[in-house]
Amino acid sequence: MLTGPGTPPPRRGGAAAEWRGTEDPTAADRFERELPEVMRAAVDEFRGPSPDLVRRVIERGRRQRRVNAMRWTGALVVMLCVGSVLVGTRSGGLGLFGGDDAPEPAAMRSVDLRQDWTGNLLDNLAAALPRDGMLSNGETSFAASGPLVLRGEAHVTADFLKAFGLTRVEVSIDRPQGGSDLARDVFCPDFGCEVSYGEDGSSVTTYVPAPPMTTWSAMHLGPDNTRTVVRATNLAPSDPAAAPVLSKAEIVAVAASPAWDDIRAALTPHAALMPGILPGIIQTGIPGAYMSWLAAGPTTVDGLVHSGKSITRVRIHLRAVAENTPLVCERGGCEVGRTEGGLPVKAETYVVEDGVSIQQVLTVRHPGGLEIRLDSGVVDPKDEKPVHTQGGGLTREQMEAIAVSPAWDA
Amino acid sequence: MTGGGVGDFEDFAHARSGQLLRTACLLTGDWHLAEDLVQDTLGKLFRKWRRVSAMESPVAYAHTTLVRTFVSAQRLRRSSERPDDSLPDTAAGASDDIDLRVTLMAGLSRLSPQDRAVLVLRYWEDRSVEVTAEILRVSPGAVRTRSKRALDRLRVVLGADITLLAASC
Repeated sequence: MLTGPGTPPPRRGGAAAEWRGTEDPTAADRFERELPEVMRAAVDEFRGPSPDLVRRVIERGRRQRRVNAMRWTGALVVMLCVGSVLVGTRSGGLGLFGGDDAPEPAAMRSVDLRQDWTGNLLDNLAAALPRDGMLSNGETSFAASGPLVLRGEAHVTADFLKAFGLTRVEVSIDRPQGGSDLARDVFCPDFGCEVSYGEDGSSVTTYVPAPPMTTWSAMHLGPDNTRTVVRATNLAPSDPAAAPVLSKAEIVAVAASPAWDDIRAALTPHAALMPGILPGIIQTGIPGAYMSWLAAGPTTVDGLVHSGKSITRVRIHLRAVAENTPLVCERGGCEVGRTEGGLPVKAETYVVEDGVSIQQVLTVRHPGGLEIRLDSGVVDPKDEKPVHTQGGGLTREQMEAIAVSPAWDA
Repeated sequence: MTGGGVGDFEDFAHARSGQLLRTACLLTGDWHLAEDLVQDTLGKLFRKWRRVSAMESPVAYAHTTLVRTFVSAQRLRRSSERPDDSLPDTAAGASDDIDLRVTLMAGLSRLSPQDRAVLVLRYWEDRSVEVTAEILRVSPGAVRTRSKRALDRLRVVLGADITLLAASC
């Protein structure tokens, strides 16, 4: 009964694993232990998927791609026409983008970064790419007008179509620590890698791989400490190992293009991002405390706060929200109010009755749409596992001191 | 998983659609809704397949996408639908397995979508509390709380003698 089509996924240390070694279970415990078996038995009776399910998915996906391609083509043609009028050039020339008579990139950019919350970098990409192709399937993410601490990296990807092929283009831009030093001392040991240095202190590293690797790339390190990385991968199904439709010179031109200048200006340096400023915030908010790192991402940090003899496991999560969105309690053990400084705050407590941990969650909204959420739970100093205790961890005041720090908005 | 072409996606989708459908069935309680959910999920993967195929575990990504798509869709539908307390009909002469399935599905259908997702992830997919929290974008504490609450409710619906039900398969 428990084999065949209903065989569950491999064990991953989930609920079943937690039962190993448990003795003398209560009725509730027994119910919990038997539930996976019951689910497996029930799932064995489910019908399988329709034979044409995958075909329908692929057809729908291709249809969506065509729609996207048409939408982007239309948008770019409109942009081109508007740009042509603005710079007073005559129409004509070669290709979809008007060939030599197409407007200059500066005239084509129409996104007001101060107004545009989502930051549409596809316009910048269109301006940076050669004009004899077409963009489709674009995706972009950068809150150019969002909170500074969240503006660590700008990213855009799109498919670039020419008459003889299709290439996936990815561009990511950030401000790494020691950017200008990196530009002077680029590490480029591999075959297929070349570096060139500009008079302005910039450098461009290109990488043209040997098959079967297929992604060509260029990295531009600017004198303003910015790093722009462009990756181009051929998407032609007939020959997946073929070169991209962009030449090496064209990929370099995209990386070094001034079309990204306003994006570069809006980026926050790495040192001013969460992992850079958090140690200072912890030490200021809780004198004598420090944080040991477990993991840090662009918007989250998981770590242990050492304060006196106690160790508290903390997760700090940042996100951008629309300003003036109220904080709401959806369950008991929760209260909404204001901090001493007048910021909206929500405090929640999770107590697991038959478990081991008590978890405090504090959410604070800063002006400008930055939300800071702190999850904290006390851990045993010996093995750093959660312990069941009402005291010894971070107090509400200490959590609030971290969450309201003006350093988040600096 | 290497490559990122349509052929690779097709192989992946054929190999994984059955497992995705079973999870979707437990979440939705209805085969047609489940297949729609799987179709939406695979559609999302298809659009990003080149990136997904390069990931360490496209399978885990697919299951995460499925659960998140389900929870998001339920949030959107919640304002326009009313819960129905009536149990689904049982076909005459159904086997014990069918009875078991209906009983389990009826129990799951009494839970909120989030609670159902927690139970399915924890007890069918066997995910840890931390991974379940990551998938559902909630805190681990919330997962533990929801899990306990959902188990209690399910135990009331199914009865304490779940061992007997399981043994009858």
